[in-house]
Amino acid sequence: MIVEVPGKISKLSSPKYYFALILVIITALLPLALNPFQVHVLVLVYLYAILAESWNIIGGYAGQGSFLNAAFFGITAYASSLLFILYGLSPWIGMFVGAFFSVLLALGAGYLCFRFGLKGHFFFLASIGITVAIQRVFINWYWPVNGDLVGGAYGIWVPVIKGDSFYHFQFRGKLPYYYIALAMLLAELYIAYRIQNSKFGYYFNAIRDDEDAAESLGVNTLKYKIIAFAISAALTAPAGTFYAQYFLFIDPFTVLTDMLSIEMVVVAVVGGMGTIFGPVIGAMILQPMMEYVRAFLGARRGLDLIITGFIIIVIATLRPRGFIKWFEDGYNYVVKQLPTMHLGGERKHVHSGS
Amino acid sequence: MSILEVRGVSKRFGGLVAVNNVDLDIEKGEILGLIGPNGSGKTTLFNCITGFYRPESGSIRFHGENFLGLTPHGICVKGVARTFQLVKPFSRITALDNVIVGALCRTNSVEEARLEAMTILNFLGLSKKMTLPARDLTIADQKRLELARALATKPRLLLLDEVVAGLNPKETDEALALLRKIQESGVTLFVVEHVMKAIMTLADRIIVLHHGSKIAEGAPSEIATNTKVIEAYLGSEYRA
Repeated sequence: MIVEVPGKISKLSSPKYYFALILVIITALLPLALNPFQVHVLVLVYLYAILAESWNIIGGYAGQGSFLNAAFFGITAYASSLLFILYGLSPWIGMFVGAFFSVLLALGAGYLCFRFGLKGHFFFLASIGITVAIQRVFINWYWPVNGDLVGGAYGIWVPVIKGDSFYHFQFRGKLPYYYIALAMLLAELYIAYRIQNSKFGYYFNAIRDDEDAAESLGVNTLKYKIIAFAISAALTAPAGTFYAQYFLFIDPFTVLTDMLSIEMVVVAVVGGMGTIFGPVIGAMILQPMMEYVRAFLGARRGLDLIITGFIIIVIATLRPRGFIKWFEDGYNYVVKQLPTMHLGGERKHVHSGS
Repeated sequence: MSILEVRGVSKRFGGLVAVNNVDLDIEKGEILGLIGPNGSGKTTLFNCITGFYRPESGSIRFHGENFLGLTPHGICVKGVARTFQLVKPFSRITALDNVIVGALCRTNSVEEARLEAMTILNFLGLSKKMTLPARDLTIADQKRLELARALATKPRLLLLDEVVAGLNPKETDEALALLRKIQESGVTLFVVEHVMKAIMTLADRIIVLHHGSKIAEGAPSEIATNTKVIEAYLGSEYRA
């Protein structure tokens, strides 16, 4: 009997892995064949996938329905924009400052909520309350710039610089944004994958399914819930800076609204909570749909939301665990049709048992 | 040698005294049984020992170390594990992953924990079902899974809350054989049980609770003839 002994590179000889690589390459080449509006829709798909993927850590894996994630997003959008306007700091650095404050908020809010045993609806209400409070603060907070006041309810225009600049995170065309969003999403997926297969992943799932049982098995549920929250906050942050640099305008009513948290939850739930690719699939289904409905029926405001609501009802009845299963089945079907490649692995003769 | 010392522990819920001034010692390597009619405070006593409840008075020492005020996970780390009367599986993850969560108590490496978990599932005869989500197991298997998870934390003392309740006679015999195997592997057991036949054959020593107080303590044969115990279970008109 000849068996393939997998080496480091030869993992790719299995269709399961090289098909994934092919999909990534197709995604990378895709925008070259699309018009700018379609590229724009894909950028939004990736943005929402990042947000839902981050929410998935606290909401899906650890099972704590957070509505605070919009605050992590908004705080980072504000941090990078303000640091750029006030001190000329690169938004990339501002992104890390924003992430730092988001994590701080997650630690504080997480400790207060979980220390006193808020769960389920009560954690949901508390987190929504904190989000609204933070939004109110930003509605009333103005910053002096060259004798003028910016911020508050008017929002902030990110100053436009000349030409393309990676340092300033500003580009004329959509393509650079596309690739940055794609890279962010892939990094996020990699981190989610690593978390799922670590002690954290196991502990988060244990907490979601039964907190008392988790405690009895030595899981410090308070600590691990706060950790899940902090990771979720840190992963949400890059999307905030990306949003500010992509639209070049932020205000408390778009980046600090509880509506945004609801969208993250919906995307994750439609795709499949507590799975790595669920949020991506949710974003792939919902975002284009909403964008196209909005583009074609723009005058009738709210129609996109009605249609989204209808689809959620359908999903809740037919696929309560999200669309992920259909995609998994499809992926596995394709993988079965593909041949195994022989790359770099060693072939060895092995005596079979009988 | 006594490994767990409980002295004068009381726990009240409003006006109800659920556990009243209970003293007990658990000897290393024994199987200690805890019986009593419904509502006599057995599970409450368990919850006090494992940190889920904080008793109002008394002391609990494990190997001389104070347990009062420790969190449940802290107590597990010190080497006291428990199962629950109503099974609490991590229902959406596989049986193997359930046990891995327990094994991660002693290691940070998921790979090590996986090996440990597979050994334990094999020991308990659950290996064939380890890839099933825990919610798809039968009640008997879920009880086994609880045991497997608790064992994976490498306890020195294991508290079992009604492991054979709800099992059929064949499953009960299997479970009892399993508990003896666990005892032989060096784990001390403290067992709450409702099924009299099971506890009488299993335990080395039995403690009886009634209305939260300890009314008797001794070998199973002594307990079976103790008039106070018979009264508590059957009422005074059955006194021999």
